[in-house]
Amino acid sequence: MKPKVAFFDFTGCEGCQLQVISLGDDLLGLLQVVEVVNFREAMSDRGQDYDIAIIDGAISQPADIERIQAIRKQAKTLVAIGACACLGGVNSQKNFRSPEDVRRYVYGDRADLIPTIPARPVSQVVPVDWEVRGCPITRSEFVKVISALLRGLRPIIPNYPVCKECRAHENVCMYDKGMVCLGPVTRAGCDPMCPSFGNFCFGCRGLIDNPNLEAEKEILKERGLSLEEIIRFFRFTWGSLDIAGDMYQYDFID
Amino acid sequence: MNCNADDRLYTPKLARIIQASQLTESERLFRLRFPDGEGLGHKPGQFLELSVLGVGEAPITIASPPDEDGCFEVCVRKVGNVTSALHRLSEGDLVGIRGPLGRGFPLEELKDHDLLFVAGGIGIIPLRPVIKSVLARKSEFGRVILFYGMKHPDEWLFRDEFAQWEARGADVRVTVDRPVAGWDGHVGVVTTLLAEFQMCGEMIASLIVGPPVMYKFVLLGLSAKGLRDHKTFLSLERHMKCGLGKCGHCQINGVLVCRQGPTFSYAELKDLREALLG
Amino acid sequence: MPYKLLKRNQYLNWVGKLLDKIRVAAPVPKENRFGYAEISSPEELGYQNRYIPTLIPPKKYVFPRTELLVNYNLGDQPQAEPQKVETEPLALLGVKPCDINGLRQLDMVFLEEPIDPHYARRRAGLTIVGMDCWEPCDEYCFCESVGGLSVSSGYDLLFTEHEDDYIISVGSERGGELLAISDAVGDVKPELLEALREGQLRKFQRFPLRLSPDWHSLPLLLTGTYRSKLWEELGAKDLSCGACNMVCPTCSCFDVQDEVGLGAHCGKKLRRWDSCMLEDFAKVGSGENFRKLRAERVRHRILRKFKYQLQRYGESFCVGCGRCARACLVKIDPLKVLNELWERSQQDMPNPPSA
Repeated sequence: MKPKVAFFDFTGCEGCQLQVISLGDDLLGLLQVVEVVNFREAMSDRGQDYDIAIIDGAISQPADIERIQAIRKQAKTLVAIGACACLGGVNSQKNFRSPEDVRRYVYGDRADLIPTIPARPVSQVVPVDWEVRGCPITRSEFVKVISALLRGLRPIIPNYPVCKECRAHENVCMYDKGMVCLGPVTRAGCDPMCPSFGNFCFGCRGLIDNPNLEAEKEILKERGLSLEEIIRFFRFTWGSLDIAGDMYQYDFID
Repeated sequence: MNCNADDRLYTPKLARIIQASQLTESERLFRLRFPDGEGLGHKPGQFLELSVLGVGEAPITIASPPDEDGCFEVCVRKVGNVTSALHRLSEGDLVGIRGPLGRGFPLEELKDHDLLFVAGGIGIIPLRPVIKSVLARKSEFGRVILFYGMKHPDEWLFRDEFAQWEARGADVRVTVDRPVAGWDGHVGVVTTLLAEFQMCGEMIASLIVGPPVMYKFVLLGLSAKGLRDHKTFLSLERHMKCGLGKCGHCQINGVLVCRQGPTFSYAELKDLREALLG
Repeated sequence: MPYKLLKRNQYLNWVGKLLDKIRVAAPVPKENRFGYAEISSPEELGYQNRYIPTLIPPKKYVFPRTELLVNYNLGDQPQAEPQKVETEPLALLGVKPCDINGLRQLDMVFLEEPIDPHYARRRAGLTIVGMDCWEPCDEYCFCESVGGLSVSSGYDLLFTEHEDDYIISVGSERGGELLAISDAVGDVKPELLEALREGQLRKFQRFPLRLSPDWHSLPLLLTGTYRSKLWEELGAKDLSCGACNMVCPTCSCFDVQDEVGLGAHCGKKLRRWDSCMLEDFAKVGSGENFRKLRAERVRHRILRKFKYQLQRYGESFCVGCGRCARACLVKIDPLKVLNELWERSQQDMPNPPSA
């Protein structure tokens, strides 16, 4: 029997689900080995009997907590995909503003109807078995992780910075072009998508196991960034991560 | 430019699992054979690169003595992807083999010597082919002593063979690190066995294999007893990715473990600063 | 070694003829830097013979960033077969002495027994057309200090500018044949060769010896400074990002991983450039990491270039191209590291007893 897979989305843009839909041949390969029972972006039927839950989006409303706990209870394997589900992602920028202001800004006069909590990755609420990182996820890595989990293996995810891949791809360093970049501490595996197309790395795949954040801060300082600007840069997608000690010392509301 | 290269250098040759037996909770012994009947042609102490197709490749020490009817054995602890996947395979399945690789123990140079084997945990695996080879031609060697230490009696590998080794003239002592109910043998780390070890002279060689932490204390103990560095042999564990001296992973200072080792004399390692812990 | 002559204004014409015979790659502008790329017309050679060493060295043509080694089938009849390397012959133009030496040193590693078949086949199809340097590239280059400026072998053709001419050293039969495609190539008069030699002798003075100790003595220096505090200082700022290894012309470490698709009917073994600076490089299956600290990894990289490989092959395995220092965001520059170790070792030296 093919394992049943269900996709669930929380707070995010669902772009990672679109990445899955656009897998091409690999999507057909996926459908040969699993049965998809729930996938809002791609089908109208909803099944609640599943083995593997694939989650995208961050936990950012009170109701999300119960929902994700129920999913965890049902699923044998839980996979978080994308920067929002794995790191909190850009959603966590709201964690550094007043919740009231955020609600008013987003929902206007309906703000009172929609309660909000600080955004956080799935792993801060329930245990996560595997993660496919990135904003959006890298399709080939999604295939790699699903393929590994179906065969009972541990997927091999790079534990080195984007710089390694970026240099090997013969890119001109963002810093040599007058930009700043989080590549030196961010986990590789994105086939250096952003720098290869001229954009700096904003850390969507999170940190490597032992990032030298102090060195990264020094580099950014040398390029003229103030400590506040550095923290803000780090918070762009890492706002929910407990890193860099002093990240929470600053609470500057625009 | 030289193109007489072996095109199959990185390509594993498929071998069939003809027997698989669970030795302990985490170690499994596999008896392998190439379908074409060709032997492996290895020396005790050498290793091979074992592929589980679809998963990956890992360096594995060869657990059997040479020339066993074209068969060879590996004894594998379940730790990572490759070894876990290997544990799930059974008789009849195929695995990929590259090898034998590296340098074995210099057995021929040790003729007429008294031999002291010190094994810690799974360190018994690379020593087993040496012990079996030596005992098969015991008259060519002097005394054979084996000290084997493990954390818990449940981890005792090749337990049923120990009696045969004793019957063939080996002096065997086994110890567990801490007292365990039902264990009436020696208790204490393997170095405590060295205390009762009495040998002297030029014609003693020792072969030691165990976890990194064991080496330091055993080497100190043996040095204190006057054993010669160039007659003390070890086998080192490193990340031997290609096994051919190319990929760089197993390098210790200037030494490529996969080509120049994995067996070394202590004399060769003494000044190699990254070789032994501490 | 035979020498030939070509007017400089005939160079692009020769390249055009070369393009009719063989694939050609050369340094071409890439944003504000240079990179090796295949060219289809001589006009693409925008570098005018002078360029800062390319982003990554030409080693990518013999040791690609990612390379398929083995294909296999799974299922009832598993089978594993090596990937055949099928490359059309390629000529590299404008290769600097440092990069010629880098390729030559990669040959030492990959073509020693057991010969790496994939490398050997790519290398066999490669023609190296060098372009000698008359001036140091920039503040990062220190080729002359480590013997990287001198080339006596490792090329098929080596062009040297001399006034309005190129004087060309023919290093191989294949090089000679490729040169002969142009009628404009002529012989060199002995007095011109003499003038070139004199010019080259003067040239070396323009490349300052920027390394304080003689490179031959580096193994000794690095043995004595193995426990230097400097390694910890470098470790504190090191990012362990591997940029230095990726851009190095002599780095040859690699990783091999299996990849299978979702159906898991077939798979492949791929090798990729690896880096001894990465945290997991020396980790083994049981979890032990033999170079856990950044300081240990920085030291290993420097010692591999200037001690281990040097002792194994008799040459400094740094050719002084300066790529790693240009690429390093925290400014770990091997030249400065070695000079600093030298400085400190001089300071640490006990005073001689007074008579």
